[in-house]
Amino acid sequence: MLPPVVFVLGKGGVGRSTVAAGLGLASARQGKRTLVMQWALADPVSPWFGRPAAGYAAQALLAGLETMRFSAEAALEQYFVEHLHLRAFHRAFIANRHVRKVTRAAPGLEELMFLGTIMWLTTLAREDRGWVYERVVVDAPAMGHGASLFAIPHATKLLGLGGLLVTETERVSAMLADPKRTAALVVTTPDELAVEETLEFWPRVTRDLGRPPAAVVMNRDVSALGPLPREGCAWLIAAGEGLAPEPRAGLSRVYAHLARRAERERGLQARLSGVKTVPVADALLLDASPAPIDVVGRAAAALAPLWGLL
Amino acid sequence: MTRLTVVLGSGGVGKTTLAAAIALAATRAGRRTVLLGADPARRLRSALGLEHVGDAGVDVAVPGAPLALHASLLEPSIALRRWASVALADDAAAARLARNPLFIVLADRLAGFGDAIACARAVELAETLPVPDEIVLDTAPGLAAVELLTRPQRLMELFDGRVVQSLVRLARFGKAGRTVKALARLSGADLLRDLGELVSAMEGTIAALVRRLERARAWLSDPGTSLVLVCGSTDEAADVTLALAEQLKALSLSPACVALNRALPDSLARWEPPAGGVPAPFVRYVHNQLALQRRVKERLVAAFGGLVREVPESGALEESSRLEALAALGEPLRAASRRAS
Repeated sequence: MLPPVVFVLGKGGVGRSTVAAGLGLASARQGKRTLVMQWALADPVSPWFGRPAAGYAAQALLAGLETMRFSAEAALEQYFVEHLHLRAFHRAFIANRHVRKVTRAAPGLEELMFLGTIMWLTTLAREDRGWVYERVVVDAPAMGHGASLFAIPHATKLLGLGGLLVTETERVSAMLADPKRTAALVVTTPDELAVEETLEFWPRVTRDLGRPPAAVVMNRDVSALGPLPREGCAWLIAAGEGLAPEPRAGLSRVYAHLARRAERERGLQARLSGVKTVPVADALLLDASPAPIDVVGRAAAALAPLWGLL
Repeated sequence: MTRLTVVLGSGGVGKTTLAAAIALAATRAGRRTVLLGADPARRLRSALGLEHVGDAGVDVAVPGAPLALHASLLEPSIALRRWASVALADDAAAARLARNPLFIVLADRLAGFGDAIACARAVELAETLPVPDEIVLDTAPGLAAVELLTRPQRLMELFDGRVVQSLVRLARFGKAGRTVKALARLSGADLLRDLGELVSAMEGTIAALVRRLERARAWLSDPGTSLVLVCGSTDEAADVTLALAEQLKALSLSPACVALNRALPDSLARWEPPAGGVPAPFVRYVHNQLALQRRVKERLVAAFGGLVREVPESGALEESSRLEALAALGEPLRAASRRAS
């Protein structure tokens, strides 16, 4: 069963936002106040729910489901104003142009603010504003940057920082270290690069988080087609009968493409044996062009069991 | 002047494979060619069937070509360290820089600025003897590639130490002003000390990097430079391709060629499976894939007209004739991009 804070990691283009939205939708359907927190230049999630793109202020998508887009500057302001109650200090010093340049350039500060915001929204905000999110699904930045998030508290310690950041770092470390509070999920597809990246980052995430990710979500899964032997099969030969060479070759290429994907799925499962895999079927196997919200709905149905039964 | 071909596109569409194909075609045309891979996915190794490609690069013998193809992979931290050691007084200073915790984190973070570093690296390669006739640059996937050229301020901020330096000077001479106090309250004084060391160590590097970036920006607008957009049959890849073209337009640049990769033959649309046997999801997949490809092609043709080229790269070339097969794929693309420029 997943803890309240779930980081959805994955290579760009594997459907990380779809999975994060699906997981959030599944959670909201269980009656939990849920936030899908995005750290990206754009917000693809809100338009799927017929809403305009969200900014730093959380926006409701459905009853019990909200989304927001992280901004380090807004988070810093919120931290000083809402949590430390230092509005004047923030206005005079932190919003200062030169200070902003340094906080943007100093490695790790934005990441630490990101983690700090998640922690605040799930715990400390109860004191500051009377309520917290029961669950936060983090649509993390693409794999390289996303995976580096868990190393940030270590890196910050390495830098020998002091001041307020020390307290902040210790709280964030405690949140990440506790499997009852935080888990990571890795989204992949049966594409070569996505599978490679999953295998490359798995040990790194495991090391930095102190435990392996809770599950792999195999998006665009093709296992509905059966085993698809590489050398072809009887129905493929039958399928191409009576066709001219060009379209027949096209058919073989589609088959070969799908067979490689099925093989990669099996390969990844073998490499990560013992890890729970949640398949989300490739939409092309199902219908022509589903609306994005239907794709999210399907992902939600496939992912709901991860939250466990209430 | 060295001709530059920049290959851009969404991730997973076969961008690196087509960049390798174009570079192989140029090598076969007898040109001294360098292929610089800036895609952190490292697909270049498998595209060319190589075990080790790194910052130093390797020469790839190409059947039927008089010169070898020089393939090099961008390693931002290594490139940065090399530029830093050129600028620094001695090895000890270079070693100190390499140990600086901020430099380590900074080098790690440079992955996000890989394309600016790649442009600077391409300029460095064009300045290295023997001067190559052509450089093919395989950029990192997505929009960041052009974004950095349109809005390089963020990178400049990262390297431009003047602001930080003045803060450090303030801190060092004890005239800690309000700004420094605010920073120290947030981060402790050590951050300032480390930033200060880093900035002093990197001053020369910054100057060299900025000069190369400026040259790269001019080079991109040179008539001898061609930009190739690679797209695949997904809505997302088409979105990225159109957004890249918009970004290029803002820089007064336009693609010479738009490759729709891994295209299936249109004739497959008339396929009707025999009754029974063929799994229904497979039939749906073929027709949905073709419909998707038509939709993507329509969007590309509406935006780029005759520049769109369907490429049947399958992603599974035979090992034995891989380089020839790739070069054959690259020739029409290279010809198309050369005609346009």
